[in-house]
Amino acid sequence: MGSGASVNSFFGITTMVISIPTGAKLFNWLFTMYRGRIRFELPMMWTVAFMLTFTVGGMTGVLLAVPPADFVLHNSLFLIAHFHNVIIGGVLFGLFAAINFWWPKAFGFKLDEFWGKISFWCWVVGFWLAFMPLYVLGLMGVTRRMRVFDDPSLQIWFVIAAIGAAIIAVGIGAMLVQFAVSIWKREELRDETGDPWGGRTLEWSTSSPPPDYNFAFTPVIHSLDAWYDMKSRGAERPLDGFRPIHMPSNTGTGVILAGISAVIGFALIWYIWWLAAVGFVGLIAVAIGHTFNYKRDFHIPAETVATTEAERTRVLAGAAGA
Amino acid sequence: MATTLTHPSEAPRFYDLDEHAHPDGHSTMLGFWIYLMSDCLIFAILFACYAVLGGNYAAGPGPKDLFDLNLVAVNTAMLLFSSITYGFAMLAMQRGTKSQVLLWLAVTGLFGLAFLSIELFEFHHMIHEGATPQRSAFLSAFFTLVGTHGLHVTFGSIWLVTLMVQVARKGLIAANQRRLMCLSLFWHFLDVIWIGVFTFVYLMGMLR
Repeated sequence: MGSGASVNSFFGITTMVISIPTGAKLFNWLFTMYRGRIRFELPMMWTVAFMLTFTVGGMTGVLLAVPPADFVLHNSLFLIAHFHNVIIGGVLFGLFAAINFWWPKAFGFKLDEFWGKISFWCWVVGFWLAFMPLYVLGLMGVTRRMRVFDDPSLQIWFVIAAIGAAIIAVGIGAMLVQFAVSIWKREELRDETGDPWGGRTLEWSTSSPPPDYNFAFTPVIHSLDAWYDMKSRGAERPLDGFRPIHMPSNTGTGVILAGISAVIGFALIWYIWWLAAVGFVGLIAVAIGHTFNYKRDFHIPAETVATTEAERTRVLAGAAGA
Repeated sequence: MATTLTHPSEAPRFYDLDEHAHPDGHSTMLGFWIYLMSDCLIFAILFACYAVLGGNYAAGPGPKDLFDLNLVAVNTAMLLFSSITYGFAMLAMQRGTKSQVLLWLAVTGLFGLAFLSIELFEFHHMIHEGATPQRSAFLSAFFTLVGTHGLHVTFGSIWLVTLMVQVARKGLIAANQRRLMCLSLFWHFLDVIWIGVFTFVYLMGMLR
């Protein structure tokens, strides 16, 4: 921290202030579980791991918000442990919970539970083993990005961290295996109800994966958890009277513009000015070209909707019979 | 948790079986306003940078040495005139006369081009005098703020020419009218930003 007193107090106060809404969010999440019937399936496991890990990471962040402590811990392995604690715990574990939760909605089959659990335990145990020693090392004054340390008493903590990293590597591998096995066994894992978790929100009222138009008729919302409300009050899917559905046309322009932007970024970073210029002109040309396309929408005919919904009725009846 | 919105005696309706109108582009204006406000944030940041760094001359030239208020006054007039003529184009659009829309758009474009030419002349003159963006924090902040505005006018002009081609080809159809509305908002927005630049950078710079 080479900054003056004003900057230090500004950053200290803002860092502390940010912990208040974050703490409130954690209580929000906990209260969504409070008095609920909790099933420890993969999405819930990842969510619990996320909350625990993220909380610890947040608390070490509050320590770093204290300027006198930050003078000592700045650029140390304590800081490294802190931000991995929030990024892995807060972003990655939350992302993994979401992938396990919504995979069946996106692709029509659930993810394999066995490999998912191996991945989960390796990731979580490996994470704690890899990063807790870094807090200790940071408190002992070890800075980041050092190649050699003269003090042999530090070695054991690095060894523990390395073992943790190896266990995380197994967790990453197990997750890739989980995806491969799930795709391989997709017929067994197929979700025909569209509602594999007994969900509460509207995406689970559609088939998995949902049709292009999502909902044949717009659902009317009566409660916070609309799909739970519909199920408990016996809402019936409408089976006829379908209408053509107004849809936006597909266009590749967004992806093309993103691709050209990536080329421009590469060219600018490596000082390839001719490529940057060509890319820039191309970017504008594609954007202008896109505006000459006036056919932006189309209708899915009522017959197509009727066929899709009839197929859904058939699959649902099969799922109920099985 | 399940707060029911319907009266308990009514049979709940879980699906809306009626036809819904999704008029083409019904949400474009809202989206464009959100874009403009995000653009406003960019300029807010650049104004804040200029406010902080604008007095750091590094023993180099300051506003009084560099700015020619007469030139800037002409420049401001060009941009203000272009806003008026764009307004005339919109009035012509409401009357449905395509040729007048095209005429006023062309006039607007010419005023925009005049503004850009004067700005480029000013920049060229300053750089020639050695007042480059690298010279001082004041000049870095100046070129970033005024240059970003100039880039916006440049893209607005490219957009204007594109729209002229589209209006000439397809006429004043609903989609084109919507596009003209968006560019109108964009063009007037740049005018408002320029009022800020003129006041805070040029006028107040001369008072420093």
